Amino acid sequence: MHLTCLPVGSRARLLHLFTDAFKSELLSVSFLAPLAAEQTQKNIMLLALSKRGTVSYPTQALLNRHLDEMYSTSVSSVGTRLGDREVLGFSADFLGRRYVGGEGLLPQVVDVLAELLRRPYLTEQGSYPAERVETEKRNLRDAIRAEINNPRAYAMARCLELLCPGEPFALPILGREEDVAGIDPAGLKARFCALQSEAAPVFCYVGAEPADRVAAYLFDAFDGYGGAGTPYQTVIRCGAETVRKEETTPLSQGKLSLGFRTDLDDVEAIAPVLVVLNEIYGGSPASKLFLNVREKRSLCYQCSSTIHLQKGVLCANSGMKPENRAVTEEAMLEEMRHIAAGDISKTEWEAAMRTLADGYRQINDSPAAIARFYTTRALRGVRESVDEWRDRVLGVTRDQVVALAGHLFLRAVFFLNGSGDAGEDDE
Amino acid sequence: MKRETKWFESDLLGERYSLTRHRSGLPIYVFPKKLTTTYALLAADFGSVDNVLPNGEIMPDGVAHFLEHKLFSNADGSDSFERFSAFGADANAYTAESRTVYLFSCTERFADSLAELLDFVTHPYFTPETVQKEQGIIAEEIRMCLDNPYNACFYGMLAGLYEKHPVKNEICGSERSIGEITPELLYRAYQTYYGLPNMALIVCGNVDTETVLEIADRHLPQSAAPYEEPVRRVTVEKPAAVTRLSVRHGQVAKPIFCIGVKDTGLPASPEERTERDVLLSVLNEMLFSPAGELYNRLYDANMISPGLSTDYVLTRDFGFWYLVGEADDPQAVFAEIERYVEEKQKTGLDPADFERCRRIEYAEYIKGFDATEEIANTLLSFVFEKSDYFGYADVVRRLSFEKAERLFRQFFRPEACTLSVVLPWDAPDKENTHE
Repeated sequence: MHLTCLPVGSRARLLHLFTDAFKSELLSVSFLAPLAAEQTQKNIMLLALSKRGTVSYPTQALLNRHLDEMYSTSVSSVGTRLGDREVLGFSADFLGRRYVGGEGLLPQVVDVLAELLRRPYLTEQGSYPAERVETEKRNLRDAIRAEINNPRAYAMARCLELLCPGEPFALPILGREEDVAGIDPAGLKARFCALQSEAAPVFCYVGAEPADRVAAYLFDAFDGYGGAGTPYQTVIRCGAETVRKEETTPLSQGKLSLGFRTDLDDVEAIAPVLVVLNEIYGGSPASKLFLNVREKRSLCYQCSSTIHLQKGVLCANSGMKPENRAVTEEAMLEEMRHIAAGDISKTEWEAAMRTLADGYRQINDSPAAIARFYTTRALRGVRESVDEWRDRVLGVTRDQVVALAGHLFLRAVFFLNGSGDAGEDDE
Repeated sequence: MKRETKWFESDLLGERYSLTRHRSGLPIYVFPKKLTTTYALLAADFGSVDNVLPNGEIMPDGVAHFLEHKLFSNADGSDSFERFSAFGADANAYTAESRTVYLFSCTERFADSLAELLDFVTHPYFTPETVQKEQGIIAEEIRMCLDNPYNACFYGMLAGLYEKHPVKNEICGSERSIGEITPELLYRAYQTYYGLPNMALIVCGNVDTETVLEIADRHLPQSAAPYEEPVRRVTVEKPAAVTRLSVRHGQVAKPIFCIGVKDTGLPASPEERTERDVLLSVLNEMLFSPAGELYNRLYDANMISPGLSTDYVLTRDFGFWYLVGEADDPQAVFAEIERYVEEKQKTGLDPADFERCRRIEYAEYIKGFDATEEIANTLLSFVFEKSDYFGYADVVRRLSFEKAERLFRQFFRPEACTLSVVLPWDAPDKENTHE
């Protein structure tokens, strides 16, 4: 797959990945914004309000009908973290030209993205409609509260907060419930105007249209949009103590989340090593956590680990009978100690490397995965292909993994205790 | 012996796949696709609802799912997950109401992985010790499901629809039911349902039919063993729902709800079932999607949170439609939905809406051919349903507005509806849990 990088006006870039392997195509727009309590929540609100209606499609129903008529084009909003920054934007998935005829859907998709980013529906006075703002505030508040509906994700989020105190990364992506009340149409309009003049958009197109055609459509629709952009930033800090916190719910199972950080601050250099370490530790069904803590000791059904590469963070998670919490925690830590002691079998090493290689090759089979890979790198200012990244990961040595394990420290433990009161409620 | 391979082709999609019935009795489907990832699945037409042994004995809940877990353990003490990892493949399995599926995806060493898939699924090995150990792992999975409010809400809906049908039971079973599972029972279930004629191998990716068949020749029996099709229990259900309302408490910040409608007009033929499936998908879009009048009415009135979703499940012996959402007052939403449906049943649907939603079906069908995983799993649904994968586009094209209206009027009957609600732990019940 060939990557072409083109400017779109003076402020935006297009990552063009030519492929005719798919029947659908993808066009996304993303940009960085600061992760800051006073802005992040408004940014998320703006994405939601854009999908409530635009100048050309003033209501949610009209916008969605238009997308349906575009052969079920789907547009999703993007609001996530990258290092200590927020990534905002939209991503559209649509049928390729050979299935819809004529000029294809690309010009219409570009128009919809421009509508969403540049032309939200406003009142005659030029502000966001108050009743829509109130509805979306209510939805945001509900979404923040609903985090507990997924106990595993909740435990992981609390663990990350304990792990990165005072860092932007620790800020919940939906913001804090107590801040929602202060959001008003005027503040949102001000934030919208700021983004219009500050954002440095990265467009990513995966499909069979030529790059200059895509760039021309984008230039017409986004001319004058954006500004210097928010530079990428990440904070690497290890801390000196392990912080522990516990909450209790009536659930029957406890959720344990262990947070590790490294004291090595060259995050680019350790990133591929952390990927391999995670794969061996808890990244797959061939990992130490799965095979030893789950399969051999039957302590839990779910036991795995994930990484936040740009923060040098590894988080291990499991769900177990609350009374097995201590023994499970010790079993999970023991597996990490084994890695630090060099106890990595040839089978474990080869399985991890093969699985990783397989996973990177599979990226080329998904327009969404391709776009995600190249967009996050472009936002970080890194130019690297999937093959180059794969080679870096596969070039990691066992000594590097062992050395990194010695520099990973348990710094946060969050336990969502289950009191078991759930029982067979109302049955 | 010369084998016969039949090819199915679609001009619209520019795709084709082959079917070869292997001499072992296993039907083998190969869908060549020029992508990096090759995906393979070996599935048994055996799910959680299939709970009868040939002598009429009813098995405890969770046997199909337990078997799925245990087949990965081999007689030599090895675990097939580890073997797949050694080849760089990503393996997994799942059990649904009417199927059990073992699968892997890979980008190299396909032959090794396919051989492993065929070997481990066709060589069961259970001992009291390994069964007992698995009971501990599955008990934790059951507790995890028990703690999942969406799962509780969904099964509350099924219990509201079905009095006797096993579809209402959790796929994993309960801690009590899995405690009754023994190696002997697993072997009997395996012999009943894992006969190769009752299974299907589907491979999709950068691979050709001959390669797959050669591997199958090396790892499957050279002749078909005597095998009797399993007896499927037919559960007769009343046309009405069992309960109108059920309320539970769970780990939710705001009430969640699931409205279910029991389908009691199951068509006998696969073709009719496919058409019914498409019609219900179109009706779902017309009536309940974010482009529709009802969704926006509820949304603007702050009655629902974003993310109302609907689906229709149809198999040869059960069918139900459901809608999932989050609301402060689910009963008010339920009443509003019923009012809207009644109103539309009187005034009629909009033909322009019908065309818009038919176009969605067409587009989604085509988009479904971009990933080997999706192709293989969708093809499996058509295979077990004995229906035509490539014929789907024609079914969409031939749909008539009149049929959609007729089905709409027949399907959404108040007496066939149930509402399942999960309230936050501290919320008081508004009414009795069961009406």
